[in-house]
Amino acid sequence: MAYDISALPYSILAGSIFIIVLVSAVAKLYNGRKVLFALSSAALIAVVLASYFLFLSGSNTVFLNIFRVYPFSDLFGMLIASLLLLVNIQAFGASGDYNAFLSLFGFASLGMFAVVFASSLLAIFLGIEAMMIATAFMIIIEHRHHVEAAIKLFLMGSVAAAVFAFAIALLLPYDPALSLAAIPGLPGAGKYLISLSLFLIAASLSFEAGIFPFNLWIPDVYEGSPGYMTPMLAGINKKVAFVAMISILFITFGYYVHLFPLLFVALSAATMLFGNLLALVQDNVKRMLAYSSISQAGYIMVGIAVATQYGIESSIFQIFAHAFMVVGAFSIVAWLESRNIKTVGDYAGLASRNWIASLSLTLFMLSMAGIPPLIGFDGKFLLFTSAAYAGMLPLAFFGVINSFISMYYYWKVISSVYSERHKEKLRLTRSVAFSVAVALFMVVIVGIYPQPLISLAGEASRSLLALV
Amino acid sequence: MIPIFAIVPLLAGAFISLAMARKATYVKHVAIASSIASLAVVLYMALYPGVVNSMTWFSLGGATANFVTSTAPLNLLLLVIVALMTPLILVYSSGYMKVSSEQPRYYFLICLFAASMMLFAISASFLTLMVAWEMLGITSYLLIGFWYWKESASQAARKAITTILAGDLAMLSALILIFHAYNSLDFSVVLHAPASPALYAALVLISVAAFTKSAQFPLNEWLADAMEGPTPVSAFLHSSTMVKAGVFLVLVLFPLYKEASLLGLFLVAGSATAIIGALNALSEKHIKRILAYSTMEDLGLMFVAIGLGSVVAALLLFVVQTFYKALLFMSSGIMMEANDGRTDITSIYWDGSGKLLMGATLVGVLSLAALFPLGGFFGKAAVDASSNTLPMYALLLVVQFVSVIYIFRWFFIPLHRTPNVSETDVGIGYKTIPLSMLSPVLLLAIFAALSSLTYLYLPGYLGFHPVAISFGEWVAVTATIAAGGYLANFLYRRNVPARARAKTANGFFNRVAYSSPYINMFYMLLVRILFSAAAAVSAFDGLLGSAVGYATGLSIKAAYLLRRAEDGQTNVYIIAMVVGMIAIVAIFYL
Amino acid sequence: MFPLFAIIIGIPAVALLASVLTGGRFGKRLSISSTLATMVLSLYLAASTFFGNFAPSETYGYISALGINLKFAATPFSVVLLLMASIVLFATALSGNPEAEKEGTAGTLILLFQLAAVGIFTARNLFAFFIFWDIGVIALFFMINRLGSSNRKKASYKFLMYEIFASAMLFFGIILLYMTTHSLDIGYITANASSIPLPYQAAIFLSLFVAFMTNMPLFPMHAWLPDAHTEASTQGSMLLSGVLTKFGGFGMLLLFGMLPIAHAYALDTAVAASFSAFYAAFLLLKQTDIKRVIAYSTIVEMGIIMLGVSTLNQFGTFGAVYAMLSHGVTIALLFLVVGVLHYVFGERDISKLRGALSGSKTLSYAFIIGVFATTGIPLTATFVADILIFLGSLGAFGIYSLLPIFTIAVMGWYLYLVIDRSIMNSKNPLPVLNPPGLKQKIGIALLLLAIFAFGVFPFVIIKILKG
Repeated sequence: MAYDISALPYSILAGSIFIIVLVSAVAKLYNGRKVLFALSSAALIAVVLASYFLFLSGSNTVFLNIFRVYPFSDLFGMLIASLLLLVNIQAFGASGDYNAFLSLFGFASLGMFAVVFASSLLAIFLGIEAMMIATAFMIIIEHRHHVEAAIKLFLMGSVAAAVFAFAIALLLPYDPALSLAAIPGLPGAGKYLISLSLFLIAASLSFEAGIFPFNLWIPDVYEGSPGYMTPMLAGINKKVAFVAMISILFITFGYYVHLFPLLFVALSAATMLFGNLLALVQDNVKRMLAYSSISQAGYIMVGIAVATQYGIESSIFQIFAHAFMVVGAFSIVAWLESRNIKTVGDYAGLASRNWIASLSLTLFMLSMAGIPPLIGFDGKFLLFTSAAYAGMLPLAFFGVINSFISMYYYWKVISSVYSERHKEKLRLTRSVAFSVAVALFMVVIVGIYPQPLISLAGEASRSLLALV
Repeated sequence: MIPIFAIVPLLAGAFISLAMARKATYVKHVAIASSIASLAVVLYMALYPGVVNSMTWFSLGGATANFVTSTAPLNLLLLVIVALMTPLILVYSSGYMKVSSEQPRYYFLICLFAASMMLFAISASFLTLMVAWEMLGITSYLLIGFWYWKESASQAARKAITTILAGDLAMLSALILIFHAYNSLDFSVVLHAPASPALYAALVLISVAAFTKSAQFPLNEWLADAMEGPTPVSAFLHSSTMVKAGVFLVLVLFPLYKEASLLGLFLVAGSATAIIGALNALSEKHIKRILAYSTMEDLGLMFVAIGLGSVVAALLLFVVQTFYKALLFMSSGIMMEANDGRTDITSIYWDGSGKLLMGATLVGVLSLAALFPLGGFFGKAAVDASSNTLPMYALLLVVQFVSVIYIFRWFFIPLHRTPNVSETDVGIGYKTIPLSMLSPVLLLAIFAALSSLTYLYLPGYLGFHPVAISFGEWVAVTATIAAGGYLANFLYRRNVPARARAKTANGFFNRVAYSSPYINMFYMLLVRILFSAAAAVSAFDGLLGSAVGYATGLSIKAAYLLRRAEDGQTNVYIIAMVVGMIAIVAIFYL
Repeated sequence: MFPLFAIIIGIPAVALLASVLTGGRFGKRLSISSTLATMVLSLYLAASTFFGNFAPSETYGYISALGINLKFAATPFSVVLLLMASIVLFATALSGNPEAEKEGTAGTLILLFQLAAVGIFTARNLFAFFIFWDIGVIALFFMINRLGSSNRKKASYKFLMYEIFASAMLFFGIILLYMTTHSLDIGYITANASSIPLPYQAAIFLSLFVAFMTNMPLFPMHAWLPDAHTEASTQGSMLLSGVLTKFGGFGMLLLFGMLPIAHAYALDTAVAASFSAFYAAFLLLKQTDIKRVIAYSTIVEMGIIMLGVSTLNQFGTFGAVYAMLSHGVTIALLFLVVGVLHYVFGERDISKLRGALSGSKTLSYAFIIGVFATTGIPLTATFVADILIFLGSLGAFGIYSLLPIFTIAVMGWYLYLVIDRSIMNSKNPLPVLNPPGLKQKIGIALLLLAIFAFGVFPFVIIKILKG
């Protein structure tokens, strides 16, 4: 079992972390940033490839009783690893202490993969904690003035962790091993206990996932984080939380699916509206995007609220879609912030300063607003049709109206970008340009031809539901 | 030969004229040649009448819209009149239009107009009719506004097109009603169709359209203003051809009107217009406007004849009026030309050098006054003869009496006026009037005199019973002329003190009888109501806009309120989380 | 088989890509050649539909997981509307920009809009329909936002918010349709729509109707149009009124042809449409900017078109298509002429522009003929359209449905007032700042030719419409 091929991604990563820590100790002496970068990138690429081949093989194996390798986890392993790669590249291009970053980054990645490949509630708990703590420290690395954001994240994360631990504890009587397996439907008091546990787990994961009202910290932390960390927070941490949420909800509470609509319809609707309303009144683009990513979390929740295979498939698709949109958009926004271009007003004339960045930003925002034929539209189409299929027409309608509202603030930025003329040109740094290019590829090409990704998401969701 | 060939030479002439903008001096020859070619074609057609040609324009769902043209006798009548008038007008124009840069446009429009008028004459379906009808409208619009840079011309054109537009849309509605009811637009189908409410409505609408084109009360206001156009245009469109399109249309559809008992409509509108026209002509001073009001009166009389059920009387007046009115317009053009473009009859003079012209004009005047045996007599006497009640008859005689007075006034005032020395020096005078302007007038004088022959031949040709004009009629009409002539001579001859003249002419008539301002006031009131409605709608629209704005503002404000809660205080965030959790659990368990 | 639709859609797509990749340097040339090619192709399509039973259709696999194919087909309506759109697009690309302002950007955006227009009129799948719809909206948003006059930001915003609202409603309607029929194929839905439960049909109808009425626009969703026109460049206005509003009209045709429940609402929509026409006609009377006058005339005309769609009979429906055809070319002509008038005289206000006829004959006569065409003079295309629409409405709703003809009278009256005030009436015209170029004259001539061609030979279009 220990030599099972399915352990590959996690082994690669764990092995390379070990090597990286070793090398970084040596590299400190030789200033070997490049070596470290090459090593870590190679490791991540290896994880992507390994996950991909595992996905193709369609294997479903449990490894060490904590990890499970099956299409759902493979797919997200691919996503997370490739996003991590983009963050790694940007961090390499940034001015902070790369060695320190990398060791924390490795730690965080381990946590993330623990969540993605988890076969045990404990693995998820530990993974999320590792991710959260490492992330909080990564925020501080670049500059001291990021401390406030880090503390906020850490503090709020601790509260969430406590709740999560309590919620798992409630399940102990029914599953002492705390494995990620379905708890049968129970009558009487047990039912109440389990549903309480369900709600608390949902609430605590809502913290990382950015669901209202557990998301108030998000704009502060996103705004106060260094350039490469915002994409990571919005594009990876949040998605990992969603992975955890989907796997726990649909595996552990697989027999309680009937409870989902009641809870998540309200959460989803409130989150969408909250994010959109507050984004309307922001001048700072980064903050606005933070709120917009909250509303996007609300859309992802639609699929969970629907609680059908089609709904999960749609959510998975939207997680992919939003991950790339938000990484692309935040990369550009953070790059501009480093040149002291922050508010909507500052964005005026961006088109004349760097038309490629402007066009990309426009496309990301259009995609987030759900304009076809970009990926965000495909995601929304899937989500809202899934809601409609499940008979949740009001939710679908609410989602449509919300995407209409969101148009207002996206266009405020786009309109500003294309307004004046500015003489001074801006050059994209290579690391940002690479991330943007990858994200743009996903947003446009997958947007125009979403069929492959939909199939992947479909297979992943089916493999997930097969576990119940 | 299919009837539509009649208009081909003119259409060709029109577009060649337009294309010859660079060689403007030859344009008139092209136009005249094309009109003569058209005349030849028409005369050839007149030899073989009764040709009907039908082309399908579109067919859909069982309904077919045909473009039908025909040379039935009635169609031929108008066709020949138009074809005959066109060369005369063009020859007259060649003397009248001197600015060569405007000539291509002028001849283009005149030829296009003549072509549309011919198309109208030969139309035998509502489709053909509608096409011709609207082409008449727009060419007339562009011709009235020919001197577009003049404010008065531009406004007159607008007034005309607005009235015409109302008529067009009435016509369109009628066309749609008929098309819907009978699935066809051919006159041959509609004329034999069973009566129906739709047909009734359509007939009313068509009569409205006819009234706009023929300047019947209360849609008459545009005609007098239309005199802003060039004089040949007034002579052609606004007296002899286009304005009679309405009359002609009603004549064509007469059986339907009779069956639907709608003739009273024409009687009322016609007599009102005749009275208004006659009275206005009496107090007007503009040399062409007097004739325009007179045209209104004539058209009114034609409608009266139709209203009385006498198609033949209407047709007789229809034919004879063409010649004497065109003649009078042409000579008024010459008078204006000779008097340096002045239009007020009190500042225009005749002198001895225009004897030939004066004689021709007198033929026109007397014909209008209905002196036996000139053409006008037969037209007007026929109308009188068709009246069946005494009040009607009296009314017609009064109108005739007034018309005798105003036409002599028109003739006498310039005749008896002694020009100032300066005027004769400055004015062009009658000696330099080119032959091209003079010859059509003389020719028309002959036509006007000979048009009395129509009394003998027209009814037979068209297959109607002739109208009998009794000796009593003759006496009555002639007595009217004598009385009117005497009174006019008394009022407007040379030696009557100016005071008396001024009193009669300006006092009573200008204040009471000159109805134009009242009708205008009525329309201004309509416009004002329309604008008030527009203002109200616009205000509502503004309110609607601000309501949307207000709603948007409210939601933004709500968002700002929400933002205040997000002030970066971690404890608030934690409280929110806890409250959220409690709420989730509470919602479920309660 | 000859992949006609792939080519028709591929031409603007490739040209757009080329234009973007070269940074818009060849935008103008690319847009002219691309629109010309599309015009030739759509003329070919129209001709082959006229002469034979040529009904090509192409299907490309798209999202098989959701059963969504990209199907394109030449339905009679789409052939006619494609013809109209391609003529307007070519005229716009060729002559709509006399100032030669930001030619590259304008050309690129025209290409983007062209992609949307050819796509939307040929798409037989609602998914593709929606995609092209939004592309069109975005193209025109940028057209206003980047190429308009001083207040363009606000106007473009307003335009966008209304259009995105429409798009959201359309999206919701499509979701509902997909949910109830498990298909987005228009042909399939039309064939199976009667199996949709009535409450759902009502919801679908309502959301799609609101979407299309916002785009057309009808009262009370009309507020975006006049502002957008005032601020848009000439090209923007031509495309906005000429083609974009037809998206909504075309959508209405699809909607009314698709859902059986439309019969239940036909009278209501007819009343709403007529009211909208009257409302706009009254608003039109308060305008002093010629462009705004024409903009409001669009709302009037769209109301009449909607009346035609509401009739649900052959006359009214064909009339609506015919009216879209005629209105597209007519309004494009009017906006082009007003734009060039502004370029020539530097003025667009009724009270300030004067004596244009003394200054520029071509433009003034083109304007006058445009007004004739708007009021529906025979031998212009609008005449046929009016006859067909009101024939249909007379059959469907009785004699009161002829009342909207009155709006044409009001509109015509005011347009003639405009001619009186601004075109004629003065011996001293404003000084000519720039003479109009040859391209502008060609564009005007092309549109005039279209107006008369469609007006003189209605049997051609009607035969195409009969299929």
